[in-house]
Amino acid sequence: MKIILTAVLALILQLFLPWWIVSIAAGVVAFFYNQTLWRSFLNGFLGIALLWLVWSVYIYFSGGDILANRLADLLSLPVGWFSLFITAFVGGIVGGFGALTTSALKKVFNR
Amino acid sequence: MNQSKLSAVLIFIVSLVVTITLIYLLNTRIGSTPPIGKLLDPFQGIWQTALIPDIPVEESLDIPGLQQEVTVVYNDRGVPHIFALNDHDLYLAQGYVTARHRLWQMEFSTHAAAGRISEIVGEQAINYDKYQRKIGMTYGAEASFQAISEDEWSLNAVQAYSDGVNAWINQLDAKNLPFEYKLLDYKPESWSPIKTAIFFMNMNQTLSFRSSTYANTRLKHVFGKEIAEALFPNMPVINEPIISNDRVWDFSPTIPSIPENDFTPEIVTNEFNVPEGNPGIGSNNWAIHGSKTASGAPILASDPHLSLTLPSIWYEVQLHAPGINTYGVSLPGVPGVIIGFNNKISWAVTNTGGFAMDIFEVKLSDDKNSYFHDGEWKSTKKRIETYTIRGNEAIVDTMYYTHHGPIAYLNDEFSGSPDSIRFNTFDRDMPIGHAVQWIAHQASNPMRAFYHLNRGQNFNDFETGVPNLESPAQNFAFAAVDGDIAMKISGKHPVRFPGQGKYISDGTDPVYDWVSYIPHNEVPWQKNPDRGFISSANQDPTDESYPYFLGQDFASPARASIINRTLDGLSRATPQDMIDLQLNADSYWADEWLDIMIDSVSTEIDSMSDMEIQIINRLKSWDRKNSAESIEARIFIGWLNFIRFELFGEINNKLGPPSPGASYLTTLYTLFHRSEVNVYEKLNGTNPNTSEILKVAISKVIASLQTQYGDEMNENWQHWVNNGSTIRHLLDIPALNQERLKIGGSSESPNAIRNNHGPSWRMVVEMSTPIKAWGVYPGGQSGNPASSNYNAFIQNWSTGNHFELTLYQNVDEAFNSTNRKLILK
Repeated sequence: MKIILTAVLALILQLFLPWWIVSIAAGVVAFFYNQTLWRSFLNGFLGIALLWLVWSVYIYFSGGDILANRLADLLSLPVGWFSLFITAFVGGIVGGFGALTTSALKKVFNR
Repeated sequence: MNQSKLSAVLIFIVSLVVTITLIYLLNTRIGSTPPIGKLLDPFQGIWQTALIPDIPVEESLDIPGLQQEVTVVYNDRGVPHIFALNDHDLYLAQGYVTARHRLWQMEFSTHAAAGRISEIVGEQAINYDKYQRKIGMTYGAEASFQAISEDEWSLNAVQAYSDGVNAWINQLDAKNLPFEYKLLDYKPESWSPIKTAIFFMNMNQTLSFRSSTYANTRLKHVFGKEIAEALFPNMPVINEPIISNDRVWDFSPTIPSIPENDFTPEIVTNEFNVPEGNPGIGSNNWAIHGSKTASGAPILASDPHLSLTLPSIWYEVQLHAPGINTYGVSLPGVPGVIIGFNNKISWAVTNTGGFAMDIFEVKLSDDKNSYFHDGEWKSTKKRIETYTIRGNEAIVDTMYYTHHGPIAYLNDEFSGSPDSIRFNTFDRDMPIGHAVQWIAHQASNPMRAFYHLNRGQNFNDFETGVPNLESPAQNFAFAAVDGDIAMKISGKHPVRFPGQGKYISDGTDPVYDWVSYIPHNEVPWQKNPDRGFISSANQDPTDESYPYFLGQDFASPARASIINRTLDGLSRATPQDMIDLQLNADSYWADEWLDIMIDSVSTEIDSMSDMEIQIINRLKSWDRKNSAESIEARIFIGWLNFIRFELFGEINNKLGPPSPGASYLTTLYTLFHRSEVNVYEKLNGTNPNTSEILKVAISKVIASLQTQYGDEMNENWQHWVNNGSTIRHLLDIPALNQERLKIGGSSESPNAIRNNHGPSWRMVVEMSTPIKAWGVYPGGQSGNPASSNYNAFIQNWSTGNHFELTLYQNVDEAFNSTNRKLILK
């Protein structure tokens, strides 16, 4: 649920705002739940990674395979579709830290 | 505060700092690493470039500035056929559709021409940028734009084109910004009409900023004038001139006499390395008279050889409006069609070469405010160049100009610097302390040339148009539906004393000044010659009967000879014969010389290894074509190069490598004792031992191949491995380049494939009614590396499968099931 919520909120915000808004989206969702710091990071990571993976997979199958191959060459990856996972990872790591930050903030107030 | 609260605060602070730092790092270009987060964001980053349609999906678009409606029909290869109701709208639409496909290239190549790359990549490009400004690229563009501005039609055309480019730039958002902007993390600036003039300077630099002056001067100083002249004669011993020998020159101008005192500039008395000049740039064009064709209509063929890049230098387009209907290739940044045809005429260009620039030693006062010329001190003009550098403060540089032109590098500019800095790459054509005078610095309006060609009906229109292209000088081939064929050289050519400009000129002596220019009708041209065809392949324009000196060091007669022989032998020629000739990979040098080379080297057979004998035998039975898989072709070319090294190595030793290289013709003449002046003997004291040199040279070729690839004659020994086409993206990023193609040809064959150089637009036009035309270039209409149209034509190009080119007469004819229509209003 948290993962889906993070992904949906980030999707809405990304339609209008720069890419780093995903950290805020993950952070906002994490702030409303009580979870361990580790869980909050994981949920934030997975939420954004999922969103970026789905969106780039959609582009990949809409003629983006040429781009994926060029990206793989640029980033020294062995095959084109690795670019999808790198994309998901980069989004995920930003989302994860965004969620971790607000989750920690919540713990400061809760106790 | 309890323990767990404290740790939560700590974790919060650390996590916040990590998040912000992470976002900052992933949002910033660091060194040449792109901002990874911004780049990979699938919503606005580089993934989105895969969704940019090559052909607009809309049925109609509002384009500000249009006076009437314009219809653009895109064919299945992405070629826009533009139908407008007036010239203004035609060029506005051309600017718009070109920018849609090629915006990044248009801006990058004009930035590169104008010395503004540091604005994009930072200070790593500053030496390049300075070189561009120092040789007067922006100065020349400003002069040319002044001339364009003085002609109402031309100014309107470049202004409308600019409005069209800006219409597209204004439609861009973060999502559909082209690939390279995202990779390098910057945004396009507004286009402006002067950028057309800047783009022409780009062509000028490629085609006419080339000089062996410095190298020749050094050679003459060290080895004497006789050797320098023998190695680099004003006219080659075998001349296959562009204008056939039966042309009579019915004028006898006064030619200035050669100054009695041989000028020796100060610079050659210092210790200098002579950097190698740019490799020659070659092209072919020809037209064949109806009396020699199967259809009875003339046929024209175009084949300009340039650096092959992605995106390609050419962009295919049809332009239709009242008074104009033309099809061909355009330069992204320039309104109009550069090489192409209309309902009545067709035209094609090759580079003339010759001397378009001279280098002058300058006697400059210590304060740089004056220079000495014709017995008096005259004032220098100052020009301030400001360099904006990404991530750094701007640099301001003062340039000093004499009446000749800019003093590119000042003597004190590198004082105290080590030689490695002083002789860096960017002064290879421009010795320190010298001024450069270049035709491209002068005001001229190239737009007018293409105005007449695009709308031309006959030879008279062609003749009116061509002289307007004052720089770079081009050999224009022409064929018309009415049956005429012609060759006419464009360009502004100073009247020179024989040899003027070959060596560094004395900037204090008015004898070296450019005083007058060859009248347009006396620049070489020829119409309907008896032989039934005209052709050019960058060789010497004329034989010695032509009274003016245009320059020397033109291309060898190799390509021209093969073309002329072939055309001469043709009767009832077809367009396919022309395509076959464009793909001809014959080895001229092997045809002419291999037999006597083998005869001579065979006398050394006793001292040869089995491998060497085997290779000599292979060469004997070689078909003498530079085919992709030919090992013989690779060995033969290597053989010629090693022979040259064996013969003239002494020059290398004294001047330090690299030294100016003698032509194959001079090399073979020297080897076989046919030269009037025996350079080898003057250098070494003995006559060259022909068979021994041949034997040593071929041993070295084989040894070098064995060292590289081992003893087995495997695929690596094949010609294409060393010579096949590589087509690089303008940024030379491997992920965006086309890897080496397994194709044949050579710079000395009509199919002038040589690594990243080669035939950039093969076109064949039959001047029947209606006109039939075919063409292909090694690239694709789209400049988007994420599109399949980025390199869609390369396969057809490499196999010589030209596309059919259709000049539609109206929109209805153009619009069919495979084509897409877009209304601009």
